[in-house]
Amino acid sequence: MSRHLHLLALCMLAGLAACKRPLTAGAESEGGLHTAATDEASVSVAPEPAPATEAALAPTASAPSGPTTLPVTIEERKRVVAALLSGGYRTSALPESATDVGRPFDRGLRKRLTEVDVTPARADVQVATATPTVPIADVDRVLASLRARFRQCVRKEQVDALDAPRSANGSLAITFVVDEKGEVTSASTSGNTGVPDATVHCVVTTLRRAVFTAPKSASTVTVRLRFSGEQ
Amino acid sequence: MKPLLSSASFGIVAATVLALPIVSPSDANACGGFFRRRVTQTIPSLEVEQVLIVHDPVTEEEQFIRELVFRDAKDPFGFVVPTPSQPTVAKVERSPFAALAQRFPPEPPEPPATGGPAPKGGMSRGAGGGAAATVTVLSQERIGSFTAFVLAATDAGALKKWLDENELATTPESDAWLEHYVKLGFYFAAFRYEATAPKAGPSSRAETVRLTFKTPLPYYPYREPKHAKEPAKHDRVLSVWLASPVRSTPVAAVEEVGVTRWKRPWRESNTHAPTTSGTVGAIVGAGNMGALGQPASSTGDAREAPLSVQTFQDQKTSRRGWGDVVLVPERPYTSDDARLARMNKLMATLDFAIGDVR
Repeated sequence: MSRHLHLLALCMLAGLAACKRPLTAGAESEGGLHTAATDEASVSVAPEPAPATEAALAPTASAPSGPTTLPVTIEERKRVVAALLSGGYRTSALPESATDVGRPFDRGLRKRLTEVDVTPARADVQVATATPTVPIADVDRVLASLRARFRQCVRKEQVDALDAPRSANGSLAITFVVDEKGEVTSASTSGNTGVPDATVHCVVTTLRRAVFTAPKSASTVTVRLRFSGEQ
Repeated sequence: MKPLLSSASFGIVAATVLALPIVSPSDANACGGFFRRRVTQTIPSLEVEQVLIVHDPVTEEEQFIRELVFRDAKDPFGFVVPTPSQPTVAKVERSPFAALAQRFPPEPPEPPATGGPAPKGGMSRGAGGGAAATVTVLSQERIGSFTAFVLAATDAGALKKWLDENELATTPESDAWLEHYVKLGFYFAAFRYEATAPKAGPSSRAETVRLTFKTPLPYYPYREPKHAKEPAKHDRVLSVWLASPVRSTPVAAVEEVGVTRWKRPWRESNTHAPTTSGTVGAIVGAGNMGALGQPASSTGDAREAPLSVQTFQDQKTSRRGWGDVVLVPERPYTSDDARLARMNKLMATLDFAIGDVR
């Protein structure tokens, strides 16, 4: 790249606005590239952050020497920008500005905003009234308390089961056995209408960890779950 | 009833993920240009934005997949996305972002413990009269909860009129924003949200749309309308995944105190190990990968082509002064005259002076 374009590139990396008119490049100092407009008083191109802009030019441009008049035309500006777009500069050295001034980067922000706001509206599970063969005092209450975890199963499937059906809508019946301790000893599903396998597995696993009020004897419970959700 | 158009991340109406809190009209406009129907109503603002860019440098085709999240959208609103070439618009049935975030986390690595302080840092509805002469509706279709129009315009005033007539009300700020892109010969994808039955209480909803368009380098419409008043500071986050065989750096021009500089507007969150188009396609859906998701020939499988996935985050609450983002290759990339000519519009996004004279 010619010294002419090199200076122009430096100018644009440091401050595009000052390049809008013909420039006369003066000596470069530690403070950056000094320019003078032909029709105005001298203009010092804002050098900050000079180290970054100098570094950005390093791979492809040699250091300029001596003052040069820079008649800045649109075609010349395009050549400099074209060099940028063609990977001619070390753009990783350009200054970064990904937050408001003075505000530190918040690593947890995305998760807080996305996971709180979106999930509840995109998945729901309705739990029908359970029918135990032996009465269990809190069967419906415990199943209702599992709804949130069932919803998480739908969301988890949306994340994990990449080849699963796109719709989370469907229903299934779960039959499980609660022993005399109130613990679930077995569970199976039937009548599945469109619920992805990954969701079924998650729901069954969740249910098997539930604890109910102990029935007088082992009780077989059947309950139907209806899933709805959007991805 | 007069609807309102909002623009989300792209100047006038641009959008992306939008969002949420109930805000005053000035706040909403400041978020990028949502458009609404009644001035007195609240409108969604942009709070969370997730975008996947899949770019194929061979076909020069970009898949721009954006998830819109909006809350309290009881009334119609809309947004406009400018693109350097004519886009096609499609609904993405399955949002890829949760899976992407899991496989390619966009969070940056923990900073090293230094003990010091944290760094600071023609089918147009209602179109008629003069507008018809200079605004062309290239397509119109229902995309989820939105009606999507693909527009070409040669006159900003006519485009404003068309938007107004089609229930996407503009503002003086959005007019200037529109004019910028009309001068550059950009196309527009205008999305009008068709509200369903209002629900009681706040609700949020997400939809994912895909725009496919030609561009020699990955492009992100980042510019927003200049508003007279700075918006209230709401948390806001943009997450971008770039999948391409070519590693790139996001670069944008920004005007600060009368000087325009090139800067990196986003923080690269992680350096993920090289992967393949097949792996990424399994996560986001091969249909969202463009040519990178299709077998190249009977003897080759493009799905296994080497691919880089880069993740970026932007937490600025305002994009005032910023131009659009071009993802520039990290290494020199051969550009012949024809390719340079195709980059003309992108050049103008990185040098406002070039854009001013076009």
